[in-house]
Amino acid sequence: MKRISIVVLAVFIVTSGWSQEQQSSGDTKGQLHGNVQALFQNYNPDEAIGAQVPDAKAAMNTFGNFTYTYGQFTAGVRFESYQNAILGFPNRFKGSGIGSRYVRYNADNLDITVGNFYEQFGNGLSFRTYWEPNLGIDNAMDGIRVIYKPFKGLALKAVYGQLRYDFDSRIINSAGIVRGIDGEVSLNELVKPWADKPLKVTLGGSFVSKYQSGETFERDSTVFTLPNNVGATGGRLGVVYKNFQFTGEYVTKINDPNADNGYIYKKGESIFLNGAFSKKGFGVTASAKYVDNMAFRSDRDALLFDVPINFLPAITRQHTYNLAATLYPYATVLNGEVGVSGELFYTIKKESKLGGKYGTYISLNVAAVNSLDTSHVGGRSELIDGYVVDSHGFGDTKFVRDVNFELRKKINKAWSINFIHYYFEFNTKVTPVTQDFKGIVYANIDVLDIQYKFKPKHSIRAELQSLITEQDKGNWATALVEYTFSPHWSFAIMDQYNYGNSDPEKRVHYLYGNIGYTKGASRIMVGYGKRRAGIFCIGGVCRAVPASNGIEINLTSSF
Amino acid sequence: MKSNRILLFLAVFGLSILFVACDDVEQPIVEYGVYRSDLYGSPPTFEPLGVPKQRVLLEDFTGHDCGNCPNGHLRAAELIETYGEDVAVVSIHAGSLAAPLPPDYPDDWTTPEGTYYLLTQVGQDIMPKGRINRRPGASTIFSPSAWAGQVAEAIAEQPSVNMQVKADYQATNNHWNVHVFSEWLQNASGNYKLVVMLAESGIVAPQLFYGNDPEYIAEYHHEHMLRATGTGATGLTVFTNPSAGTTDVDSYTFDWNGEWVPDSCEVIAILTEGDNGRVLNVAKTKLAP
Repeated sequence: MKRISIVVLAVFIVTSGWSQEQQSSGDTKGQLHGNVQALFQNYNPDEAIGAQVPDAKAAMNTFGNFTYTYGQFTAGVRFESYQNAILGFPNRFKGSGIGSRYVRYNADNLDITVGNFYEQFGNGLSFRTYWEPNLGIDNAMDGIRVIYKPFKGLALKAVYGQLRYDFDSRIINSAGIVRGIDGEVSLNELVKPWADKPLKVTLGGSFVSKYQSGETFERDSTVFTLPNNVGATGGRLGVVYKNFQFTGEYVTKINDPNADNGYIYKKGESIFLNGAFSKKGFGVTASAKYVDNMAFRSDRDALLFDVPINFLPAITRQHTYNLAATLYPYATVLNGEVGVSGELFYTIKKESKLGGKYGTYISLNVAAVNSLDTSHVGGRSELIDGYVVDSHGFGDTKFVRDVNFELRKKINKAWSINFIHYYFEFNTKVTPVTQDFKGIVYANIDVLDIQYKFKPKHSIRAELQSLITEQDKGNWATALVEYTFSPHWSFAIMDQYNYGNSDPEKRVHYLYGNIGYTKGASRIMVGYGKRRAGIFCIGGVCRAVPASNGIEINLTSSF
Repeated sequence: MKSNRILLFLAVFGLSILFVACDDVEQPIVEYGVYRSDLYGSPPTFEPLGVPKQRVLLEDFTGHDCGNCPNGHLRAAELIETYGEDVAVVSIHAGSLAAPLPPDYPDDWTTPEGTYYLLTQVGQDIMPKGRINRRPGASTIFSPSAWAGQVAEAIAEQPSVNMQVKADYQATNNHWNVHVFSEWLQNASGNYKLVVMLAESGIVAPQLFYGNDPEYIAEYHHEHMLRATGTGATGLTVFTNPSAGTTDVDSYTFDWNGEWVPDSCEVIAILTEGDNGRVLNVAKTKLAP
């Protein structure tokens, strides 16, 4: 372990030096940019928290992005290494090699990329590829992308390739081939007389198709013919009028028997509507979402995080404080859900009785998601389509309720506070975030975040969190203290305590501390302690992370 | 000019995708083995046996390059000699010893179903081995020397269902029809699957036979060789939670393969618990012309 730590420090020093060299070179023809991240963990046995210890007793994920730009050309490569993959990442990731490579030409309204690329059509309901290194998700396209803007107000995109599925010292793509087209028109840019109108309108449309060979499969003693080509068609509208904003997108998908939907042939459908009004110090938003059988992958037999073609964002707020974010995080149920959400925020004016010297920010966010309103008709129809939708309204099964209220206040130059109260009703049968309880968890969470800047460059931040529930693992409390000595040093210690667990042996303190050092664009963080099993989410995409006990070293650097 | 060309390319590309990249499957269910009453009339009638009749399936896993396997073939022949209609033997050519090995063993007698059975019933690429009614429990994969004892045990069990089968070959349309009559004698819970197998005898082809002189037999007579299943390896669910007294006739029409000799074929029907579970009962018949 000591040897690995030395290697990490060596990389840190080298990359820092490299960064300086680039800055002083003054090369105006070609430019090299990039970033490096290395995450090391060692694993100690800890029966009390059920910590997993891999055979190698340590793991390390490393990646480095290197992008070289020369005139209208850009070339990029990403080196990846999993020795072995950190627990919680796909354990099939292994070895070292090139995880991404591309060449891009961008000039005269024409943008062509060959190799790996990331792209999104609209909200992503029909197509989105992205890389999230902290979750181990990378469904990069490997093929060609053409973006063309023939004239102002019109953008056309075409993509063709395969999605990345795995990494074993090289990129391994999934079996299917994905191809898509997208067009977006800005009417105000396209029609000159409308250029200065307060009403701004954009229209878009897309079509995405996947090809995967196959002939027949058997289900319930019946043989079915597989569709080799599955397409999704979508349209979208965006409207802005003064302080009002509206976006809507509709995507439908033809018969796509797959592992997510139990190999049924029902057509898929998704609707996403967002409305917002905002002015200085006040805003209100409302969203509605309808998803029916919209898992869309380049491999019909894939599940979980593997090779998704589209992305269905969650309608609930993405929480950041630990207990709310990692115990009961909600992610879209791809097979079907109906949801609504709304948010209201208001900043109480400065110098008022409640606003004080700096004003006070308050917000209320509410989200509710249920199952689809469906019924089963039996017989041949059910064998093929699985179910029928009775309405686009709420079904009987509650998936989640999320109500949260936030108050943020800067009291004076030294003190500021943030208080949030959350109320969750969370169906763990539908979103299986725990193995200890199956049903609706009713939880109240309170968070008090206090920051004290006691002298220039020196600040202390403390978090006190409480989660009260009679279900699942019972009550939790979290306390965190973080001391920052700008611009280089930070120290933090956190304790999570499951004091309400019905099993006394599981009333464990998860104590974890870390030290961070930042220099320029590089940062190294060394932590040690217990990490509880939980759900780690970024942007509504969540992965289960097992409990661990050990040292963690995280190095990031960019140049 | 350049702009127009790019625009044209994108338009053609987009339209191409739109037109070719969707397979809207209007009738996804493959009507597999549906009985052609339009050609062959109503299914035949069956008279219940009246008395419980337990029959036994012996699955003999074998291969032409397996020198010990003919000993298994001999034990199987003795069992048919002893029990007649009450024992059905199917010789399943699968695994590495059944693979074509020209020039000595040029033929491929393997079938996808046989390979699947070797994987699910034996789990290893070893032979000669046999399963008797796929009876559950530890150590239920037997060498030929144990087959007689196991068959005797299995045939003495009380059946929960009686089975009969009728089958015919229709040369005009290249079809084979199968009618399976099931008569439940006890209540049962769960799903029960019907598997229809076709076995062919009298196939003359090379076989290795240790202890024989010569060991390489160029014109060995292969008997009861699994040639196909009409219903797929795992079968079709025909009963769910059946109660005592339930009777049913399941009829199928399958396509004939010209490589098979109708007069040398027999049809074996088995009812299993779920996918490849215990065989509840068996019925076999020669193909009627």
